[in-house]
Amino acid sequence: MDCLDADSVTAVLNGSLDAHTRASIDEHLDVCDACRRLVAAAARDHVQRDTIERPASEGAAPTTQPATSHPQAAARHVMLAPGATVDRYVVRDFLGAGAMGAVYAARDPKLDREIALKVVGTASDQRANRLVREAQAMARVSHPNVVPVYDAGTDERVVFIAMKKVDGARLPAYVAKTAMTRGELLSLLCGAGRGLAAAHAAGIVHRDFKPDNVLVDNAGTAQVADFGLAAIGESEGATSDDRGDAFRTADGTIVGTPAYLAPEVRRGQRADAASDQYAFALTVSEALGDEAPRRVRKALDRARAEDPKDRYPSMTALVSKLEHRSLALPIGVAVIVIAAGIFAWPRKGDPAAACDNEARAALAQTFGDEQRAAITAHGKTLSPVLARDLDRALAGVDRYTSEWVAMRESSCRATIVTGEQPSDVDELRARCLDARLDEVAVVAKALTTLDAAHAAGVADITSVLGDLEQCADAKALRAVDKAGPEEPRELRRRLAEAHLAMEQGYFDQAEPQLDAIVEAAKASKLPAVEAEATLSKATLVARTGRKGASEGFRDALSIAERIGDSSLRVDAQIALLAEATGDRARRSEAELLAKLVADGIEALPGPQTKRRALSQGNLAVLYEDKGDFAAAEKAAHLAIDGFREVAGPTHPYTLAARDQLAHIEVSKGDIPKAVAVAYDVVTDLTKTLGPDAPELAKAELTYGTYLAFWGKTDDAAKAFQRSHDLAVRAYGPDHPKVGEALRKLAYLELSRKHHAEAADAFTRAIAIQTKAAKRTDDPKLVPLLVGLGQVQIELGDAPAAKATLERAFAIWGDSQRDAHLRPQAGFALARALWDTGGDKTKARELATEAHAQFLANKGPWLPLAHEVEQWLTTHR
Amino acid sequence: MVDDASITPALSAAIGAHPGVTVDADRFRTHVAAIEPPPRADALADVYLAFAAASGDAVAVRAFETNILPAAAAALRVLGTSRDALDESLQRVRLALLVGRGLDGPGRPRLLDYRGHGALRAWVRVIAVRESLMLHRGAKEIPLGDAVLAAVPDPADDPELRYMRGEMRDQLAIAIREALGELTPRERTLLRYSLLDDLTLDEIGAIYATHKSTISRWLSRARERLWELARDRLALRLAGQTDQISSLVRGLQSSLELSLERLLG
Repeated sequence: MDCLDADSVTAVLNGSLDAHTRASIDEHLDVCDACRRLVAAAARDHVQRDTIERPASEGAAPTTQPATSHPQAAARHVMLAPGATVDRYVVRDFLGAGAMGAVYAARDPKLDREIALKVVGTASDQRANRLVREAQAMARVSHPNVVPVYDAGTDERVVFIAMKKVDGARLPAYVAKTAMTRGELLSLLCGAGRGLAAAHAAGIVHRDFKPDNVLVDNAGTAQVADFGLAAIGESEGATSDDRGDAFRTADGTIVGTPAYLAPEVRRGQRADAASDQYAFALTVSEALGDEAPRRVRKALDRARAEDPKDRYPSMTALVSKLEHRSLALPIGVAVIVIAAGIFAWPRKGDPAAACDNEARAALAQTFGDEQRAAITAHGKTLSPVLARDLDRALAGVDRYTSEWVAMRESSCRATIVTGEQPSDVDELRARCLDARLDEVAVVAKALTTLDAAHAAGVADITSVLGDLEQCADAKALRAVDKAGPEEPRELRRRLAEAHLAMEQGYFDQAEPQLDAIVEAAKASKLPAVEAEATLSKATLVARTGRKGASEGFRDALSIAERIGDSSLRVDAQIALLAEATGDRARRSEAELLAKLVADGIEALPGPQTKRRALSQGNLAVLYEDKGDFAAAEKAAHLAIDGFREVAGPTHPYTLAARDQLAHIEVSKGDIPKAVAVAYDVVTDLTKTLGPDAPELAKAELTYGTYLAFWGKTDDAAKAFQRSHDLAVRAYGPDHPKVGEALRKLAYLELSRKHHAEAADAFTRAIAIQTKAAKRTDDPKLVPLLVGLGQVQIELGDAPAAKATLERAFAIWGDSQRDAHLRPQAGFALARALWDTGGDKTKARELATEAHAQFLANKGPWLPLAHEVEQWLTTHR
Repeated sequence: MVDDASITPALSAAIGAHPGVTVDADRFRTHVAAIEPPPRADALADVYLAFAAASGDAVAVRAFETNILPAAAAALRVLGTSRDALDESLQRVRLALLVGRGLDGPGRPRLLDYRGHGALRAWVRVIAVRESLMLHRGAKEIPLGDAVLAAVPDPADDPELRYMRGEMRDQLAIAIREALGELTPRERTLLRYSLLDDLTLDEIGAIYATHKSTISRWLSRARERLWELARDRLALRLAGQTDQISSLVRGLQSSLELSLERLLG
């Protein structure tokens, strides 16, 4: 875009730009020094410099500064303390910092009067001389509407101008607090115009006329001041630089405040009386607004003509036109109290809007259109199923970020607009929210590199994002803040990354990351991060089936209790609950934990859907264990609903809960219901992930198992076969999941008396298991060998059966595992022994034992007991 | 870090480091005690020198001009200050540090603001850069990268950088320039507003229509990012060139990061 014009610069400071324009301007300012300096100058002008706060740098030690009200003014202007002397003048007080220099109230002991002393430090003698000349010129002007200059000179590299100290206010402030009609205002301004005219008559051009440069004394007379950029009409070349607002344009001309610059000066011409006229007319037209009499407006329009030659030949001419008109105004014209709001002079902007802007801007920096576009673009490269998951994840992030913006805005408003929140709380909340935003950045980045192999948790990816509600809890924030130093966002970001890796299944990446974070958190004394990382590490250990998780859970719990982090405490308790639930021996512990978790969740803010779902899921298992099937069913449904809401119907959490429900139905004895639940899972998975999804292998297996329970053996066999094929396709022919499917299929075929198929399946399953276990005496082989042995007997291959079964018993030893298979195995071996001409006594012993066991087990085993009985009678 | 209990023995050691300098020990102790957060123990000798020079002790002033001020000159040279301007700028820096800007009446020597969180030379270097930028503000713009680089200490400035060989400084220069290039346009503009245009937080806030605390946060983050990017790039560049990478980067970490923090806020 092109360089900024005065209107754009004003718009920037008005806060009236939309985000798109702002962004373009940002880009331009990055490469255009001149424009950036223009904006900087305008900003200096805009902000009333009563308090000066520098960005922090070492060396700010205000406590021992001399007692001026502007300790940091040294950074910009010569800083004088009360009592300091400049030439013969004695500084009393600081009045203000203008564009050109600082103005002090001072005393002239020689003439015994109070004066205003403008003091500017200079870089060179040339500039010093010029300013002194300016002052001398000003001293020649004696006019009621011009601030009189008494003296000027230099004192050790500092230029000073001693002028009259005007008791009053600058024009904008005066107008804001004084009620007056438009006519009166016009009169006031015409006074200033007459002052300008007087200066012009003395050969002086103001160059920086604006409302701030008009002082109004207590008598209501306007006086023009700050002829700071006055030139004395000679055609020198580029003049030396000023401080403050003055800076060079590309061709070296000094320009003044952008808002009132005449167009020709803006383009690089030197300022003159005509450009002063322009600035004056602009000031007046802003002041009067649209309601000015037409003839006044006409005069002002001419004075603001683009071409200086079209303007009035002099200020005098213009003012006489205006005054003439205003005198003709009937006093009866509506008395209008002029409020400061009418003026177009740059306002500071509406604070509530500023809060909104800030929040949105902060978000846009981390997760704006660019990032979203990158994610959407990546989605186009994915399979439709994955792309849908990506969309869901993106929607989740959008939900999260809009809540983020809302929270940020409300905190800002509470502090700046209504003032009900102290600013230190706002700071804490902002910091907390900033940390959350870092996590969003981590997630956004992960989404742009999503791949099929690690997409399991992607729809739920926002679960790695921290609780936003925590950032609203002022008490907790204060406690954490007191407990330790400010949390480095770096560690939190790394934690988010590790969580993400875990969520996606990159366990071997996540584990060392988490270990490192725990160590770093310990070293930096950041217990909250330490606790979270410890908990995550323990969860990882549990998920990978290793031991030692509960130690980690307890560690995390104790830290969380120590620092009073309630949500972390609940998470640790949930983890322990999950562990205890699986262990029948720890039932009472589990029940206690369940209650603690429930209470803990209630105490947390917000809906806590995920934590509730986790809690219910565990409760479902507990109830089932206890035999309270109705309660278990209810809890399982609650868990499923909760997980569905936060993670979708096919997320591993949701699937686990649904499996749990099916299991409960079986325990209840409602097999058809279990089958229905399992079938729904298969359907949902097929719908969302496609018919070839690896996750379907497990689902089909479960479905087939329940079908078998139900007696629908044909359908069950088909389901097992499908599971097998899916597993082969997804994981390869030797994968344990394939073996699992084969095992189920084999036993099913055995029960259906499809002995050849059963034998084949058993053999293959044995091969897979042997390979997976890398040994031939793996206990997991026992059920397979037992099955195979039984089939071989049925097929009439007694020697093979004997070998197989003896092998089974050898591995089995005295183990309690698969104890329910012993009777069948025993009976089968008995027959094998007999049919191979082996030890008949032993055979009968085995058979008798089997018979007894079958009888004891009752139920479905009774027919088998009968079969053994039959055999015993025929095989003496 | 120095705490109250150990002040006296550490102070004596600092005083002993500059024989020939005379300063009221009690005043010095008060000065050190008021520094918040407290100075590093290994910087106390520098704090002493700074304090003594600011208090007008002739020996200290000479030592300051001989040993410390050249760091300022080095920075100004990096900024491309011409030979004539160099003298004048150096004089201004010297004046600001030793005397402060007041005329008659109490000015405050800037040396009293040195808090001993890093080497004195490195600190003076940053002051010199800021001074120079203020002076230059009317004239042709100094590129942001040069301003940042000028503040980067030399091995001579800071013992933490003893592993940094000459050519590494060039690598660092490149790393900083590249890092600046990787910042967003807004981040660069913010840094320029703060450093080159000398705007206050409120003034920058007016430009972006946001609260000054947010500006402060943005500036810190920009500076942190600049440091992280530069450090990572430097590590990449130096990989394989030296087996002291980790020591080097560690040294840079405290010294350079501190200088950047002082410079950019």
